[in-house]
Amino acid sequence: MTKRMLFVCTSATMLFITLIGWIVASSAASKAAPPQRSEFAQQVDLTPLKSVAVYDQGMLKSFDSFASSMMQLISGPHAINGHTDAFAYLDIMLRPQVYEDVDAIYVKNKPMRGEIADALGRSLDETLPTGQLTDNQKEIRTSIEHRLQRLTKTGLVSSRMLFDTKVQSLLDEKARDLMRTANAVQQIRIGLFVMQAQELAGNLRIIPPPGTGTDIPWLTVDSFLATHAHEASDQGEKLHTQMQEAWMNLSQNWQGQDVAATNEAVAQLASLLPQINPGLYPQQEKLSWESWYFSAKNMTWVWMIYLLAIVFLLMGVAYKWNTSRWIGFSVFALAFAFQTAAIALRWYVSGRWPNSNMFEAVTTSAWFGGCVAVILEIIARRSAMRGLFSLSSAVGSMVALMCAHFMPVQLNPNISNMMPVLHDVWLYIHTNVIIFSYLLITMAAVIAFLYLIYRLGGGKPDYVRVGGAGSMIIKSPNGDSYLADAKSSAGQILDGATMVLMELAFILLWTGLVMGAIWADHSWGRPWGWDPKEVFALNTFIILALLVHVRMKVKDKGLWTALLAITGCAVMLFNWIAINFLIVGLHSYA
Amino acid sequence: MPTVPANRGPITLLLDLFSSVWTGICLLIVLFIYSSIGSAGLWLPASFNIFDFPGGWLQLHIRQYRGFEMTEFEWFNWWPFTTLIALICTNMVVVTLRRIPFKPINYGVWMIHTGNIVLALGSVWYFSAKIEGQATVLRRAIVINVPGSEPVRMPAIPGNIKTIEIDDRSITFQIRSINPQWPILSGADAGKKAYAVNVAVQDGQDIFVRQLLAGYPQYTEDIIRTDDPNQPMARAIKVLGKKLVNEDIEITFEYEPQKYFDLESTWAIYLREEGEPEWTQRPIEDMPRYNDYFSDRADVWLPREMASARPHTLDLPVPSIDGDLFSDINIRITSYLRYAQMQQRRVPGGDRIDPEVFIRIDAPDGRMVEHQLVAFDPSLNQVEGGLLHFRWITSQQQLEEMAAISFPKLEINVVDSDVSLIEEIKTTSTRNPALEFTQIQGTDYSYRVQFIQNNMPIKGHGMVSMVSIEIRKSDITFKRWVFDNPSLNRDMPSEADPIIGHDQEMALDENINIKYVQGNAPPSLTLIAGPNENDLQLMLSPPGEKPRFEQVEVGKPVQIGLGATLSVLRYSARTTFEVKPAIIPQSQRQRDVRERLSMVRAEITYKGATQSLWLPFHVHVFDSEDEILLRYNFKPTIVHLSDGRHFEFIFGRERMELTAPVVLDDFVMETHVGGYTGQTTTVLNWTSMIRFLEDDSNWGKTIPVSVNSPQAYDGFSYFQAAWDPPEPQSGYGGMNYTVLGVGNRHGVNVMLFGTCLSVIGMIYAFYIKPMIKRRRQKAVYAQVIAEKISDEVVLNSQTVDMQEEPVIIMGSNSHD
Repeated sequence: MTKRMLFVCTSATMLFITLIGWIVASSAASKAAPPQRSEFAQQVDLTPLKSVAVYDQGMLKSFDSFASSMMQLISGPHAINGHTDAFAYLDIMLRPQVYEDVDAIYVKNKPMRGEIADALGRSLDETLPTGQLTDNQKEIRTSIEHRLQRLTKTGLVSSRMLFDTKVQSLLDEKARDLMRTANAVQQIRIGLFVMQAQELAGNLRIIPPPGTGTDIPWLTVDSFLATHAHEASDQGEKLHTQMQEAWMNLSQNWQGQDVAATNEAVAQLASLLPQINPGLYPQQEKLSWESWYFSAKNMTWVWMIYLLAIVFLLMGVAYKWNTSRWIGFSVFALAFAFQTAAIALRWYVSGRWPNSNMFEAVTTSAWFGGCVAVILEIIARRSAMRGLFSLSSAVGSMVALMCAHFMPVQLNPNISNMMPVLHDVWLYIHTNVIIFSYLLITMAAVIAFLYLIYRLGGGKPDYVRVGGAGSMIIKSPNGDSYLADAKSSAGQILDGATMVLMELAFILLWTGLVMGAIWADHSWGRPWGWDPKEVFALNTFIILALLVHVRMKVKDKGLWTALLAITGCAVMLFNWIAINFLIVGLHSYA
Repeated sequence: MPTVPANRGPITLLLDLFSSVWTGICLLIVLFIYSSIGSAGLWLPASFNIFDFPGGWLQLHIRQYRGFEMTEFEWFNWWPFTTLIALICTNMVVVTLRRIPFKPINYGVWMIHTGNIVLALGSVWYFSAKIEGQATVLRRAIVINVPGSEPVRMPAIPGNIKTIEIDDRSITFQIRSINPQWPILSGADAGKKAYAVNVAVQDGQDIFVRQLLAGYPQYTEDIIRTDDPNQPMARAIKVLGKKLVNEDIEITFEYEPQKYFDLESTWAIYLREEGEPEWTQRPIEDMPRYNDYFSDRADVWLPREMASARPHTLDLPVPSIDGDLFSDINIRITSYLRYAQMQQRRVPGGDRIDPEVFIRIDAPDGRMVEHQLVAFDPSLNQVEGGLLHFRWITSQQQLEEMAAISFPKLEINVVDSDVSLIEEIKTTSTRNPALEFTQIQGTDYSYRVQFIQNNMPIKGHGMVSMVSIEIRKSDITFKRWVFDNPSLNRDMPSEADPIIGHDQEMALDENINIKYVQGNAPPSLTLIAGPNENDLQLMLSPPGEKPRFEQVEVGKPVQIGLGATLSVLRYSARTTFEVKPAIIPQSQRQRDVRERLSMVRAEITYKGATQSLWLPFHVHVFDSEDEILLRYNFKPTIVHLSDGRHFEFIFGRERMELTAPVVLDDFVMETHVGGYTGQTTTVLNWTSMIRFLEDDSNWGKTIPVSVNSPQAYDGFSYFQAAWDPPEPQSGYGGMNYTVLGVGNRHGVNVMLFGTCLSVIGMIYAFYIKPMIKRRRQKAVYAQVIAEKISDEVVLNSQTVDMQEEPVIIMGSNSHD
């Protein structure tokens, strides 16, 4: 038995490490090597801005969180010149000319990168044809060629390059194909548009409006300075003058690259802003936490801790090595604690339970998996299944957090308001139950996958006679739970754990669907609209129903259970990825 | 396994078939496939790189194919689906009754199966009786009362205008603007916001604006013009001392009731005799949805990517229904276009000479470009930056004039030698670096032309042309820019960089005056049609050479130098214009336009005479132009019948009468911090305050309908479906109407009961049942210990127990 288990775990570990190595390596390859940051960039101190609030689309955000959402529109997952988002925002706003030829605009669509690079290559052939070039020109040509190569890898291109006539006509042409390429062009044009200094300045609404009304838009510094002081008092006038001074100092010293004076102006500005209308200004503490959360990259790096937990848990499960299992449990607990903190922080910062966009759905569902693993590990603490639940949950959480970490464009971490139709208690319950069941399906598929490896390694076609929760509840003649039996084979343990999770997923998915119908009935007037997302959630359920019935009829129950568990997970992923991004229906916002 | 009787009847066979779990498994697999195809379509790998997602995959939306043409709703309400569900239900019933004993241990599976069957029954009721649609409700109408005239009513929509004539007095009323959030500044409700409408009134010399506030008739007042330039408009009470300029003119609000709602995914033709207020409706059954149907390619403009599309005919009668007064007007639908727009285009034919040509230029590197050229259209008679022109000539003489070349010239005047002469520029030193200086006869000046730059836009001087020349006088050489306007001429040292030359400008040598006169050269390529209609020739004029001519035939490429060829694809001397629907190619269709740009071709037959016309789709059929809401279209097509009557036709959705007319009393928008800024995410909620007509006379109590909070009234549920957002750019205040979703929901509670039952069943089967079994085991073990039976027997009893009552949710499987 141990040999089989050893084979299972060793091959799973190797597969894992190869996969992660490949993902990390490929993502590192696409990252542009950050150039040396200027002395000014290194020394300027923007920490006072951490407690500055910016108004953005019906929300008050911290400056860091706001800058990160705006910079993402420009440079996607990349940092411009290795700068922090906050620094890049101010630097582009105050010194736009420096960034004209910096590769800062992110082209998400890969074929589009190639076509832009081709167009630029043709332009280059016209302006600097190979042949009669001076050494200087040759150098320029080589450096541009190098940048074009990098464009196809990283997707980064400069605004000057995008304004090339050949690129412009390419984009015009592509924009006409609404089905295939219009969105890709739109994404580039948004980047170009946002990167304009006047756009960045015009969006920086950091001055609370006068009065107590919460339905009045916040102001930019320029519009505030252009009007009279909010309060017609000496105090108000004084603030107005001080603001003018601070703002002028900031822009002039920034442009003059004077570190000390800039730092002073930043601090002055940050201290003045909350005084303008203290009644409307959000809590400083919340703003700093929000800034911290965003500067900590939404804590998605917790995936690395989960990876560590997986290594120890796998060894613990494989060798029945208690020390390793306990280390695994502790690392898992640490990772889960971090993840809980991240969820709690996001909840506190956004003022609502984090479940309104893809980023939140993915990370929250992973957290649910952690919860269920903790509970099941406590219940199964004396059974042979122990370790498997935290292992599968760690895999689920790691994959989820890696997606969030490496694909910030697809899984956008920015905090925004929910669509009005989503403000509903049933919706909260419905979506949370559904994503909960999805994570259970993932965990079950992880264990089913281990079962398949076990069978591939020549394992006996074992399965638990008493499946699912019954295997923990019903005791064997000697008084133990079925799976506490030390004589259980690896196949029995894996099959039993799969079934425990599958049964939970079965009930939760069905309940989630019913709750969704209740919500839909009162928000759209129809409980079931045959929307693709609904149909594929139902399809996932059909697979689970098939699993339950097929398991009853076939001889090799373990194998079929594992195969169908993985199929269910595939249908679920198809729903989450393909349907979400391609066949958008009513559920397009979640 | 029970022994099989030798001669099983067909009923037993069928019963056995439906008793098998395998049958259920197969049916579930079919259900999975059916619903996947209906929802996501069929996905086939389109390339070897199946990881290229979705690029490497071909998606076939079978549901939308010709012959199906179904919405998701229809696909899942189609007979194969209902049959499938019926089979699954039968299977469940038979299996449950025949194979699963009704014992506590099986209550779970019984509940699940019963719940599913109840759910299926509820769904049948729900989906077969389902009606859903949308009702648009405008906020207010105004009623104008002027002594001596009947009351006049018009919907409160900006731009609406009405004139009242009393004897020789004419009063015009126009809705100037609406403001859904007019702040009330005084009185008990100060600080609240009200719906305001401004009506501009012109009564002879009197011009004023009357402002009405919904719910506050006491605040109605007039605003008049003043002579004060600082405050051109002022409240009448401030200027005249009274609130109303003319108290005879009374304007009040009234509700604007909506009697109908438009049914989702339906089609209908509406008709009425011109001038009549009421429409007659004729539903269209079996209309396609996703594909284009036209009987003749000549009926439409086909996009290039559909150039080879085959026509698909359609022939749908649109019969009249009860109460149709015009049953003698026969309507058939012969074409349907999902996404098209009426367009006027040039076609060959007609009596007028208006030459048009389509050409293609092929470059030697394989690139090619196509152009349309129209000789008489200044925007279309030259392409490729003026290199290629298209002209029509009426005589041979015109041709010669076009071919004439004159060289550019320099008019030179040397003051001290009193020499004036005109020199032609034949070449330049840029083109010919070996070019020598030319001596100006009778002077000590010589010159050499460097380059020519024609037609440059220069700020303040319009288009100017210049030539850069080098001038040598004895040993000194300098450079001069000579313009067609000599006052712009400049001198500079000869080494001066032509780009930054301004910095090194030197004093102009006024002894030598030069003026540049542009030459005349035909464009490089001129396609010339005429003087006979079939004549087509190409004039090639390489710079500095005499033009030559090539006869051009349609379809035959002509060499135009540098390896490139020009071919005329189509040429017509006489052209005219035609209006037809242009089908928008698939790639340019916007998904969210849905069927809004669809149209049908209706064949209208009355007393033996038939006419065909295109009818564009209307989201909502209004009664009059006064009612058109922002973002809606309303353009009835007028049909002249053979007996001289005029009819209006509209293609739209079917409509149905509401159980009671509804009005919009108020519309409330709640926002997040910062107010509404144009993005939906800044909105927290919308609420329509609606009222229904009760007892045919009274408006009932106000009912708030908001997102996620629908309200039921008399058989229908009403929910908030869409709204009228403000448009700050145009000054439109918005929130002037609401769109309510309307639908019935029979059987929802039955479905809910069924699903809850199955949820309880699942919990029972997965968690309660093992506990029951555990208790039984305990009892068995206790008994075993009490009776001191050996371990071997205990294990046997365990095995027996497993066989009788397996743990999996379905009942006994001992029969297989």
